[in-house]
Amino acid sequence: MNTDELFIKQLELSGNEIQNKLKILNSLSDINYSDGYKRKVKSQRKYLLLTASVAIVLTLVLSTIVYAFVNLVFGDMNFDKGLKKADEAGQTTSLNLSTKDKNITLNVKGIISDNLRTVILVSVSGELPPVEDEDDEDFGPANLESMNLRDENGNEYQYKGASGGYFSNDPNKDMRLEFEGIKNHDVDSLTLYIASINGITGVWEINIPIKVIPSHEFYPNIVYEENGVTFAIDKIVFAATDTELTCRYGPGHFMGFTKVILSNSIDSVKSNSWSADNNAGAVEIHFPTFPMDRDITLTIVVNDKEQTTFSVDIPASTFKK
Amino acid sequence: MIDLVESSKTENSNSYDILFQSCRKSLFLTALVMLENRLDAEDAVQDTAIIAYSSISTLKNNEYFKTWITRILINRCKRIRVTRSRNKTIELTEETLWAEPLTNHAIEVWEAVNKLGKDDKILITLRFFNDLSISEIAAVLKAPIGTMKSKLHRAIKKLRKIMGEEEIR
Repeated sequence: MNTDELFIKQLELSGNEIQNKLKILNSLSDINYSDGYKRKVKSQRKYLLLTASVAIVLTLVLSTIVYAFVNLVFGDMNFDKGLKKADEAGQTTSLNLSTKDKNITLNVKGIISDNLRTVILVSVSGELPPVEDEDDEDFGPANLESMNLRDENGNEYQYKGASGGYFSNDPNKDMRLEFEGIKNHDVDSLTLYIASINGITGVWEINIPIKVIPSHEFYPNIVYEENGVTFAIDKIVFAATDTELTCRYGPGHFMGFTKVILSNSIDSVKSNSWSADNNAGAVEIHFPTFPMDRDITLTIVVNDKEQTTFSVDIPASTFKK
Repeated sequence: MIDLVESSKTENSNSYDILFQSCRKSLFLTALVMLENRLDAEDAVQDTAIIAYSSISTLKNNEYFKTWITRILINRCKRIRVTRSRNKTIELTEETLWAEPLTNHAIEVWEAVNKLGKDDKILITLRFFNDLSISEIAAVLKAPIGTMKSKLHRAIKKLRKIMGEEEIR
């Protein structure tokens, strides 16, 4: 199936879904086909709809406020759909912890941890000098040094990256620190240690309670071969914040994916990222959270211009083993 | 459906009711996309139901009921667009439109379709939300099949661009 066909197929699926899920109001279910009745119904309906619209808008506004301030720990996370989904599902933990040194307070506001990643939401307040090189913010946290995360057994979790820019004096400006996931579900506390913030040396050490969300790991051993190219799916992890596929390819170099899609009969998601190791002939592909309750198809576009696409089916039975 | 059309012609309002219910969702979707306003869309569908009921006896070929009623709706929407006093609203993206939450891809599709120009939007709606074939769309819009084919192809391309599908991610 080429990319055009794939796009049209997805469009058809979404079109059916949109039609099926469209809400039909009673006014369209109960039409009397005489003109006089129609006019009467229409004028009554307008008042009813006006009242209903006001109620709907009020409900939406109120629910948005409640949703934003009560439910979501990590806030607007449209760019990280896996984390957003976990947050919406109530799997994140809201925290109000802080530690102070050199008149700088480190606040820990929330956390989530599963097999694939641990994300901690932090902010800083106090007498904070500006960061020296603001251009480094994309690579953040350029202003945090000697940072580490350990569990109660002394195991250290590798730092993977941060998002949300650099620290400023604004306690409302949050930064998300991301570390590798925790495979031992018995871990119930972590210690975050930071030795320097914006060039100020100190000790910011804080103990964070954690409940690791169990993930599901499967080893499907699915091998796809076409035109001398072999692609094997060795492992799939369904975690609260991400879905990860570990694959092998060969022979030769990484094929250079253009687009990777995971789909089932009702939905599809695009890959967030992939990383290849040419020496090992391996590639890890990350997707937002995806359900494992039905057959899944992995579709990979290798070269968009030449429209080289291949699809690998992963039957639902794989996830019952 | 053909039987229902035939019995509707003999003033059987129950048959017509069933017939109309079978296509009201696709008609409502088309009206929503054209008018971008729920109240106007409901008016258009209601008007269409009544116009079609009173003139179904003039339908020569029962097989063409779906294209015939879609055409009535589109004409009705065009008229409402010219005469309406209501402003366009942003309610098309509200969750209140859906009985169940849409999947991410469907939301992307819905939002992208609503960003298209009015002609492209109609083509995509008729093809993918109403399941009309190219020849049926050509009949609804009274245009040659070849023209419809190439216009639909261009509309899909634009939709794909809006959805960012052509970019390398």
